[in-house]
Amino acid sequence: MTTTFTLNGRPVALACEPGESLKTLLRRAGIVSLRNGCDGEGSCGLCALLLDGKLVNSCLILALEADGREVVTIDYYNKDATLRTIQRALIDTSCVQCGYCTPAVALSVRELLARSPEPSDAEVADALSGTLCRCTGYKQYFEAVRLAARRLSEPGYAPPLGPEFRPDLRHVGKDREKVDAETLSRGERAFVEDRVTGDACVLKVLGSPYAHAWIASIDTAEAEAMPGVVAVLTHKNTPERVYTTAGQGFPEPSPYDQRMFPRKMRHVGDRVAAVLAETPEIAAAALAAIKVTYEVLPPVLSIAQAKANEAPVIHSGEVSYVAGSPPVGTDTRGDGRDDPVVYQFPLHSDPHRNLAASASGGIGDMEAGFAAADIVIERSYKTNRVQCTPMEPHVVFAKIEAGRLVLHASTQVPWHVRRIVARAVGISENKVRVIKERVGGGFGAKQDIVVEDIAGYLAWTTRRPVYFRYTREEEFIASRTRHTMEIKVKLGARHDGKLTAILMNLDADTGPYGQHCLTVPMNAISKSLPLLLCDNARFEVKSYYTNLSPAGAYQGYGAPKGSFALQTALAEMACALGMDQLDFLEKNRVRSGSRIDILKSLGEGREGAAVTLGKCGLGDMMARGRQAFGWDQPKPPAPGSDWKIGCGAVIIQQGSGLPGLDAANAEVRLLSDGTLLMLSGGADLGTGLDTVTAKAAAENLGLDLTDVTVISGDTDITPFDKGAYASSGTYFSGNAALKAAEDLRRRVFEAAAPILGEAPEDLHIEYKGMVVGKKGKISLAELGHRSVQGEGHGELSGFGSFKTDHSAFPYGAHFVQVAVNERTGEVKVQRYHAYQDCGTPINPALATGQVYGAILKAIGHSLYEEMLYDGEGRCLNPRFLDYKIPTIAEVPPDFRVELMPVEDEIGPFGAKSVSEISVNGAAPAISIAIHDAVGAWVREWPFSPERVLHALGRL
Amino acid sequence: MPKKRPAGSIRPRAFCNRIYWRALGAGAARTGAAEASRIRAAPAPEDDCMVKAYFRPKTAGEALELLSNEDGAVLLAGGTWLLTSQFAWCPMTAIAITDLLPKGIERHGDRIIIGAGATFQAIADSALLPAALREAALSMADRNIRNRATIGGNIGADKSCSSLLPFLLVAEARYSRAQAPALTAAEWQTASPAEKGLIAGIEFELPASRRFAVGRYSRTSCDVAVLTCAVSAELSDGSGASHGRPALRGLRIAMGGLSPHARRFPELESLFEGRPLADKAVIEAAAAPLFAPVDDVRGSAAFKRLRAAALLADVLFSLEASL
Repeated sequence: MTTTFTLNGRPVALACEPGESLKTLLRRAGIVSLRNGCDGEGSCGLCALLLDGKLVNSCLILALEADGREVVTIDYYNKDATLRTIQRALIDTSCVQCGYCTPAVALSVRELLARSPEPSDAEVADALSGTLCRCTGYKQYFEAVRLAARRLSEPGYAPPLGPEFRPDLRHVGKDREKVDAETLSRGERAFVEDRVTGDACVLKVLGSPYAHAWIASIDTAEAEAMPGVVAVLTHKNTPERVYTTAGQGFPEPSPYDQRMFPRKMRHVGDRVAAVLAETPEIAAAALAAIKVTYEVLPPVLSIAQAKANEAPVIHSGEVSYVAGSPPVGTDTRGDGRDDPVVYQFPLHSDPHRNLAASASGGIGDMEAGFAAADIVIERSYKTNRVQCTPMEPHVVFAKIEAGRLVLHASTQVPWHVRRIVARAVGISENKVRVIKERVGGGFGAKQDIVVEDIAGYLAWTTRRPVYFRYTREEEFIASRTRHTMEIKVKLGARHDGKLTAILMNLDADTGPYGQHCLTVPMNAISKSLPLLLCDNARFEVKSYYTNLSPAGAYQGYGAPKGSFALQTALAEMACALGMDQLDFLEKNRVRSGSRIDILKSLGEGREGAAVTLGKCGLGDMMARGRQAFGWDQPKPPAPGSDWKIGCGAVIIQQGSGLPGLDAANAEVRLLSDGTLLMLSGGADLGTGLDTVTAKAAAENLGLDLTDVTVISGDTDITPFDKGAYASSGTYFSGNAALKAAEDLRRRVFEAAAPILGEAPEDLHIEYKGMVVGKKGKISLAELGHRSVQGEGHGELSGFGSFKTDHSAFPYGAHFVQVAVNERTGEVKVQRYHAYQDCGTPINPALATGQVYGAILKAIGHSLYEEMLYDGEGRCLNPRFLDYKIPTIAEVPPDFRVELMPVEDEIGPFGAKSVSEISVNGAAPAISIAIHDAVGAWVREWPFSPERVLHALGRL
Repeated sequence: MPKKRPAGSIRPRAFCNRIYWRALGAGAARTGAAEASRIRAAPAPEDDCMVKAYFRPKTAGEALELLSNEDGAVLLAGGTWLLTSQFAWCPMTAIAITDLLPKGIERHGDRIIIGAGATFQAIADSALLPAALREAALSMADRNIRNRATIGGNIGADKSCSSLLPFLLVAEARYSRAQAPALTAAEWQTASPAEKGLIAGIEFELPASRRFAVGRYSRTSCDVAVLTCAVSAELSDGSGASHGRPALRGLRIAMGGLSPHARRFPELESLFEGRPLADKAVIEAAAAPLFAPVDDVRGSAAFKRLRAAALLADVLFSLEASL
């Protein structure tokens, strides 16, 4: 049948099915800007378009309903000056991060400005109420709308410049257009789903309905016989080798405990089978035709259950140790039925007791430390499972080209994908190419190899192109979540406020497989304990298998949990001492020149090293926050008699990559017209890493950003990079790019010197792209042209490699004010101020936006985000309808970020990491503020109204 | 092929979730064949498999006839509930009535008439409507949904978390129906699926002597309502007042989230009728035992009971302030 309507100003008549949504129809017609984040639930707003001028979700409109109507998508920008103005405003205010939601945002603003040319903030929030964004924290959208509105009446309007840094540099420390912002704001093809060819087959996975079960029998004959079914995979016809899906450097500090298709199901959604078929409908029908019987086992659904004597054993296969050794008294023999577990890395594990990993360490004398204390407190904290919810779920497009496996991936770790997929498929790495496309949100979930292994295997074995995209439900139950943690903190302190001893005992729930089972819990310690100076400090970490959803990396890694426990405990100690919380922190925090001895015990799998801290801006940030936030001022009146106001503050830290472990590389080429091609291994997740590397090149060679094109994250074209995790992007990948640019500049001077008749050391670069000596000058264009001629010196290319043993710690101080309703338990975040050090902010507004985004994610897990399970291990809320993430309405009314640069001596242009750290502050700050308001400690996140009422003794 | 379901019943996909699903009240009676253009085709793409056939009738009569005759027939207005993926696995025959439904909002003295096709946004924007109804419409915080969801569809879905039903219940609204007599909101709720028919308009009286207040609790702004509340009472004439607080007369209370559908609570009305309000704590202590919510992902029954009582107290106090 046909539906006829006006699409972006042109009449169209399109064939459609009765049940086809307008979204699906338009995407088929090539309008890829309509994105899918909720699988037609109508929750995410990413498929929004204007229907007769009204913003609506196109997934909730039948294509036939559009008949006779006017439809406008972002693609109309060519003809719509208002849309172009809005797009430019979004770009200029650094609102375009991953870009997955940007088209929807632009259309929302378009509708708003049509009816309200000078909208209030409340109107802006209402206009964007239906659009989910996980990257930006929404805050800068208000500024973008104001800018767009102003420019519509004053087309040449240039807003005042934001804060700038490093006046000695042209681009670094200044806001410049993100290199991919234009493409993303136009909704152009940029993501994996945009690369899928028309002949692609669709992969669907049959997930286990049980949390813990053997596959007793599986019959795929009927499915395999269906026309259009290309292949069916089960444990019977896939490799038996085990591997880890953790995207970490080899040897990975995660057990090899996963098989492509296991015989034992270890969580609801675990892989039973997969079907590759020519259409999604055939794949779905084939899945339904697979007959499976299960031998159901009792599930392990909590840390307590995992630890219990006689607990069901989740990994009962043979255990072997390439590195490390089994605990004394452990039986490593398998049951003869389950898949083996192999340790490439000493994890101090005992999988037959559900212990995936453990570690301990410390400094000083704990007994003496507690004995010296005037007050000792011991508290327990719990953090529940939350999900990253990138708006673009896990997705991959795999195909064979020239006899090689090519993966178009939405990944943070292209090289780890290559290595792990090659291993899983059983081929050498030179047969695999990974191309990282634009990523619609990563946040850690895409650090792991979640979909690429089976897609790659199927593409390799069938030689057909394979498209595999997770549903939102699969994203919840079968990608990666935060680890649940139960943390006991024991503190000793003297009456004068000096800490005498700190003990942290941490149990983590890693889920059914052990990816990140050591490193996340260790990170909870390593990014919280070193904030404090205490001669006696000890930690013990244990990570347990359970049959809940797989845990992995999520922004902040372990630090949000460790920070929550330790910072809240510190506040409880301050209360016990009768001290102001900030004064107590001030007395015990690290400062410039501090020697951080606890780091000796915090090396992962190897001896750590104490660090003498260079410049530390923590004191300045605390002082600034104290003054600007009004910490010592009387609290404002509460919004009603049921409400109480409270304030909390925390200090936080993160790292900047993994010193001694990670490495990054880059190459930059001078083209024959004097422009540059930057080949960066780094993985830009929307975070702006490509812009960082472009700036490194432009700054060094005296060019504009538009003179630099960045190609990144392609394992064939760009050199190795460890990937985007552990806050390494700017520090490692950016530094590699900087070294490459410096190397190119050196080579430029060497090539220019004989031409100019001068010594290389007498040459320098001037804007724009001019090599200048004492006697003459030559442009980079001229040099580039000459270099590739017959008499030239060969293409000029610089190469940079970066690794370091230096630890660069960004620090922060976060302040929050909440209102708590004593009758209902509701908590409102009224004010949130973040004072954040990232060294030199290379892209200030973008860095600020990432801080906002991280904080809002943390507010989400502090107040309402929680994955819930029933007694059989089934997730009860695996979709946006039931699992709520913050919308623009949840932005605190007073929400501020102030970057306070403290340059790092090694970081590129003095930079450190910026966005991951910001997710560490909200939970402890809010829990402290709740206590300040109503006198009750809520020691389990999220601090739902129900939990607050429990803490108040009302439930 | 999916099993044929009872007429008028729609079950959303059941995997892994306890989802509130409601029988779509808007029709199951089956009469003769329809003449409207009929569109049947091969299964639709992945996300969109629920609608197997589509009709766009030209008259209400035609729509009702289709509703009676077609398997799995549902009346489709805004589609913000029926077309969500909750129903992705439930084959439907969509009878599109958006073009048929009146959309206007009128006021004739004290009488308000709202076309069943009026969207939530139109209701929120209408200066003709009482503030409480506009607030209830705005409580559906997602503007994309408000631009499309209709008051008729909200009534038809008859969900416990309905944003508008509590107000309509305390307004004692009447629903005009195509080719059938009007029903009050309460009568319509209790009518069988076959009797519900096609709502064309919603009418209620808004005398100057009557006041309304609404309230809602949800976890975040765009969450479905965990609890809703609407109350209404007559303007006080001063009799029965105590300590400056007016007596509540003609009190009407409706709440959602505490039963399968939003409903009036005569048991609560009788508790507070004719008396001034006590303190909130007293109200809560009296009301809470009358609630029987269920545990779900949005809260335990114990929490919801406490929270519902607090919501009621707050809304009653809002009402009192306007009297």
